[in-house]
Amino acid sequence: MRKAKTTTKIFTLLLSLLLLTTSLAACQNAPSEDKTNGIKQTEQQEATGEATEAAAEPSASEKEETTAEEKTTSDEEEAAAEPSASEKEEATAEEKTTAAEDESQEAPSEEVALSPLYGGKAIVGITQEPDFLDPHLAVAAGTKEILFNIFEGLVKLTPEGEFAPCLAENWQVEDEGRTLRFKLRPEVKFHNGEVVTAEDVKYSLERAAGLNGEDALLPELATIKEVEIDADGSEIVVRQAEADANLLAYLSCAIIPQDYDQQDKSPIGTGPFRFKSYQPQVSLELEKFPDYWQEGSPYLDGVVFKIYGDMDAAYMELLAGQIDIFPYMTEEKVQGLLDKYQLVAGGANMVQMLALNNAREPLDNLAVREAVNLAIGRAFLTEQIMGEYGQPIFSGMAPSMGRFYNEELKDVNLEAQPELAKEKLAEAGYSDGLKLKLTVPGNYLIHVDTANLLAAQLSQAGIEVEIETVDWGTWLERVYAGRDYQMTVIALTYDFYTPSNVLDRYCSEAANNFINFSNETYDELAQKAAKEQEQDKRIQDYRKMQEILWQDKASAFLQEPDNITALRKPLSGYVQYPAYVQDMSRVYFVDQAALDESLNK
Amino acid sequence: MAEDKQQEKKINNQEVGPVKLSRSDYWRFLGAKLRDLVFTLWLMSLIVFLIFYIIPGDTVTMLLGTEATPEKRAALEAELNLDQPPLERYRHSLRGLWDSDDPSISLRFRQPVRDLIAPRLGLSLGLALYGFILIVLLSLPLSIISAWWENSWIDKLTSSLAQIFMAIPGFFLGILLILLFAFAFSSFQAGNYQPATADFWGHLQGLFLPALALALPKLAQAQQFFRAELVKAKSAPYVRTARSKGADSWRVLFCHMFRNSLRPFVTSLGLILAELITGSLVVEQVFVLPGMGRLLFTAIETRDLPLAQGLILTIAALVILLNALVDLLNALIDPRIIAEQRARSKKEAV
Repeated sequence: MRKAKTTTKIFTLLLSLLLLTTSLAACQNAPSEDKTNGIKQTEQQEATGEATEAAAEPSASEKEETTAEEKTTSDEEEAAAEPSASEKEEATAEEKTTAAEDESQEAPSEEVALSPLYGGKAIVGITQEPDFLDPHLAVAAGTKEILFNIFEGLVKLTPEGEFAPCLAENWQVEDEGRTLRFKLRPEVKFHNGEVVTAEDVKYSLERAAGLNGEDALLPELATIKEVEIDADGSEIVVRQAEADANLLAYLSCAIIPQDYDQQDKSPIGTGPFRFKSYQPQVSLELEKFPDYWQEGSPYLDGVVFKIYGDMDAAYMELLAGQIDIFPYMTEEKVQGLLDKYQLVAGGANMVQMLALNNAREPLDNLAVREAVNLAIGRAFLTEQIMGEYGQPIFSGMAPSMGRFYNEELKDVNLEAQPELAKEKLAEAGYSDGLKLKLTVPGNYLIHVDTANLLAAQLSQAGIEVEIETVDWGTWLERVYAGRDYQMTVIALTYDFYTPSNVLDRYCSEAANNFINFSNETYDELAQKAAKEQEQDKRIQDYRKMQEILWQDKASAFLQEPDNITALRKPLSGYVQYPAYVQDMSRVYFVDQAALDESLNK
Repeated sequence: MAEDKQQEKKINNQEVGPVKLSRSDYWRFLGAKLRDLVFTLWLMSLIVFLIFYIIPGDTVTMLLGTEATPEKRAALEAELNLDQPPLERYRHSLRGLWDSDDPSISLRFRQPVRDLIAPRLGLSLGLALYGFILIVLLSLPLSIISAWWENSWIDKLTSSLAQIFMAIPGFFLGILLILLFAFAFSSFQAGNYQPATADFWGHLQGLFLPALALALPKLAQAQQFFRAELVKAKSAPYVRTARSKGADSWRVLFCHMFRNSLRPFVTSLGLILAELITGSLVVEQVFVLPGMGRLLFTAIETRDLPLAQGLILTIAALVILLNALVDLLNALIDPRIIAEQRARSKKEAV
């Protein structure tokens, strides 16, 4: 009997070992690539154009496990005079690699792969359920990035962070910036076939700004006093009581057909794709809008946004080839990617911060906030959390805000200085150390990881941190709305790509000033900057505001994490915007076989 | 064990001779179960409502996130009809489940709760049933083999496997299976799910891995349980009697041991099926299946009371009904159960 038991035990042990090794082997099947090597390889190809060599030896290039990586930083975007041209060059290099791979299987001609192809269906993996399909009601970044393809405003955000003419052909600023006069683009059609009229524009803006007698759906537009139709319906005039220089950005808000009340169920806009279907928790499908006003756009016939419960499930599907585009890559997942994918990374105007409650003891003391900031080694933190896909920041604005970002604050305090921090603490009367509570929303792994790292760094300076993990609902109610906390880690994204959207929240009386920051000069500057018509002065004001946030140590601003998108190689053209936007109209297939296959999925 | 025997004795003392039951006894039995069902469901709905009332956060807060402003809150609250008193909303979340003129609407998805649950119910139930069929089909032969050739190598192998699978929870097993199949064999991909209406064979194929992940831990449990029953039966007096009467091995196995061991097995299978339904909610998440699990998760996460109420009541009703069905099955196999209940109710009446 005892003998039998021992044999069973040995069996069990052996079998579990077997199971473990198989699963481990399966994990390792997705090899990690040498990242730096990968980048070098791409650069070489771009510089010398020797992609043909790679084509001749596809097996060798596969062995080296190179992943062509495209890291579009906002700096590069700004510097490039003609970004589209430089993008094209990069894309060409990518395409050549693709062709090289394909040759080993079917040997298609290289010329075919080089030009964008029309047609095909791309599957995008998303992890956030759309909240509202009505563009004026939608708040979640995950919804807006989809709706960007369905709806358009008078102006539209470009990848360079500008606002380009869209449903308006051009516009004039009148009355010291209080009035904007838009000339409407003629013969633009809604997805239901009807032509966009000035009445539709008026209706849309009034609905968003709350001029129709109801609550403003987009409170940012509430400065609008009146919307008027002029010049026989070919012009629209937007009047404000007081000039707000940010208004143009807000007018990128969606134009929708007048009195159509099914927007939330079956949205109708003017964008390059029209809504096809939505099944909660399954998928949201878009199809090409054939009457789109911009000739030759979009390339794809359709886009399917497949909705996943979590990042890992979506990532698995990406590896299995079930989805083509996955916009929420993390640094860890990048390591596991095969060379069948192209990466597009860049800032999406997100600010990750260790928020300090300025109204709570002992953080109401500037010296304590200084100590906290000194104790944090941002270079190390960014490296640990985002690898090369994050940029340390010191104030409340991310580098992807372009010219409004204060570059002087770029690396003021990259390394941790625990000794200096201790001195500051002693100055504040906490020479024996200090205990602080850090509340963190547990549903965001990145913030939990950051909180743990911060706790370790702060402990070096004699600040003992107690981490409290709460669920998102509790965080929103208690920390964000209730302001009942000492410290929290959070990342902020913004509704509109405007400096005021980023910085106004730290004004003393702002409803969303959840860190309770208060500085009179700051408040005045915010007022002034909003009205300022001269762009240079306006930029200076916003830069000054960032300086104040750093000097007063309003919080410990940590980093701008990049948005990293993985794209299967037969697709190209994806561009990272400095905001949460998935512009599918630029994406195209470079391989006919893959295109045909995509239609059968 | 000892208690069981005592009880059996007690019943045997009260009812002399074979138990005879009228049809009304069965009906009374069913009625009692139905009464339990309604009461439990009502209690459940009350608990769900109270929990939603107590926990922090509400749908508007969850939807607006960090973009919340008083204006937006007001606009959204009006949009979602959240201005009604809480008790009224509770009543509506119940009434709206069957009232098709004024259906209960999900706050998160703004669609009738029934329309959201109906297509997912089929999947979750189907998955549980699929797993159940796998369990029955595999556990019966496996336990007979390992019990018949007790302590042989095959018995040891199945026991070892069973121990491993019992130790691994279904969702983790699911992850392992995905890794193994998707990468090692690059067949069966997670999310390769097709609706049954489109392609039934593809549907079964897509659901195979989830069903397997769901079934394996319970399969191991069922196999071990039934094997133990059979081994116990091997030395039971009735088997000895049968053998001494000259019955051959197969007859003894299938006509005597099998049937006698079946009753406790059916009970355990019933419990397993109930566990499979709740278990499928978790396994669905791993395999990204559009079932009730993810919907429930979202409903709780976004504090969507009408949807959560509908889902929890549906799941609870299913589990309770299944348990009642098992009781009934057992009663058909062994009428003493009803007799016991009858005796008990008579006692109470006295």
